[in-house]
Amino acid sequence: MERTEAVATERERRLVATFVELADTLVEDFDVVELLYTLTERVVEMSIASEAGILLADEAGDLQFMAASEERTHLLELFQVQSQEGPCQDCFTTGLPVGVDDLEDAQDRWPLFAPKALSVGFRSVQAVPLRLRGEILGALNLFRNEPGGIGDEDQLVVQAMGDIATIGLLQQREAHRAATVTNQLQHALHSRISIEQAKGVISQQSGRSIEDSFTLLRAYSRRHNHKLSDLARGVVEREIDADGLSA
Amino acid sequence: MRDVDRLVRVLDALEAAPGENVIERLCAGAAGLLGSPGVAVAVATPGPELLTLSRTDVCDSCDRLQTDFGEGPAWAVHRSGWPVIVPDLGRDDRWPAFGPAASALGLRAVFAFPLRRGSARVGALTLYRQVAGDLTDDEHADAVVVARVAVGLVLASQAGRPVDDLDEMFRSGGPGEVAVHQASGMVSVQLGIAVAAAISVLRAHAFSAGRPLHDVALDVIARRLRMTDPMSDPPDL
Repeated sequence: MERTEAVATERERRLVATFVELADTLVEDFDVVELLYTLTERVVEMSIASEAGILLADEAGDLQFMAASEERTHLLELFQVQSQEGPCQDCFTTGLPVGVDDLEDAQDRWPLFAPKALSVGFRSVQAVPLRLRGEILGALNLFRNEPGGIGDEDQLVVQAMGDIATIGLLQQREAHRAATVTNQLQHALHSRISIEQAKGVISQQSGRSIEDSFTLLRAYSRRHNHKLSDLARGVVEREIDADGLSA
Repeated sequence: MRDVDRLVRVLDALEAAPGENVIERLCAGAAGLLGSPGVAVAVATPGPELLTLSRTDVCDSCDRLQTDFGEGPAWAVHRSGWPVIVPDLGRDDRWPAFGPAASALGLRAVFAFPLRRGSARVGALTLYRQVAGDLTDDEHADAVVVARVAVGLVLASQAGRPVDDLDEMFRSGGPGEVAVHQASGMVSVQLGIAVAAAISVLRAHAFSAGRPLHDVALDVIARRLRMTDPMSDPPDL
């Protein structure tokens, strides 16, 4: 009895440590691939599964392989992606957890995937969706060498881990989106400033007023179908001068 | 106070404020909400410069000093990514040029908060006060929310536009801001140097002459003033 409690405590400690570790990785500029690999490794270390893999949907909505605890899982996940068949695919399509206690009984359900998984030594498989509200980002796959599913308790742990991965993915996507919009703003500001600088350059080179310098710049850009901002940068970089614009 | 209540309160204050565009209204609303008559919002440009989008009238001269000297609270925030809290400017010596000049204009306390999204630095929100003293916890928390709202407004106003189509709001930095860039272009030809170096020459000239940068820029544009290369000039005897 004491021994069982000690084991439970040790397991709890490792669980807490894992969640702290995963949360720790969610700092600014974190590597999302690293997070997903850590996740698959910890699932295995805690004996929840023999091996684990993660598939994510790409921009076109197709699943792509992201991380796996071992090479044989890596290959099997790639096979799922290629054949578009298997637990991850079903889980992703339905948004619900998918589990098969014995892959021997799943030959009809997944005629391509089941024999392949059995041939590399797996007997059971679970897939947990990575989802937030209505949106499904991908799925976490758990493989076991023995038949039989994972218990309710492990199911909860796995879902919690999947939730952390989901938070990480959303956070990274938001950062990426913000960077895109910020770059766009920076680009536009750069263009705007270049145009003002170019007016000054032309004005000094030709003795024209600032207004007339802009008229010259714009006329050339229309005549030659150059983008105004590109032309302005060319003037600032001295690739073309006022005489060139007047010609 | 819960986060969402604070956000609602801030948005209500901003919505009720007057202004030509969203950032003007944000500045006007924040002035009342944060007990700081002077409020300015600046965005980062691809170079080291900041571009002020809007400022309340009362801090006009103070805020322009930052462009004049290339230093000050918003610039510090932009460079470090961290808020700048100066409850008593008279006892602070971090800005050798901006500090004394702003003090002379009556500035006593200044607070600046980064506008950021993820790891991207978008700009800064600056609060100017004519009385020394720290922000209350509530004002500080409100300021962070105002900064968050400002990021959203700034990015949303330019999002999805073609590169050449800059939102009107970003052009409204005032004639001074535009003139500085035009004058930099002229000086770059006068001295045969890059425009980024030319703005430093203008700034140095303005500083040593004790004049605002945009006045110097306007003189250059009007050809009342021409920069000369200090290395090639005979020294004044």
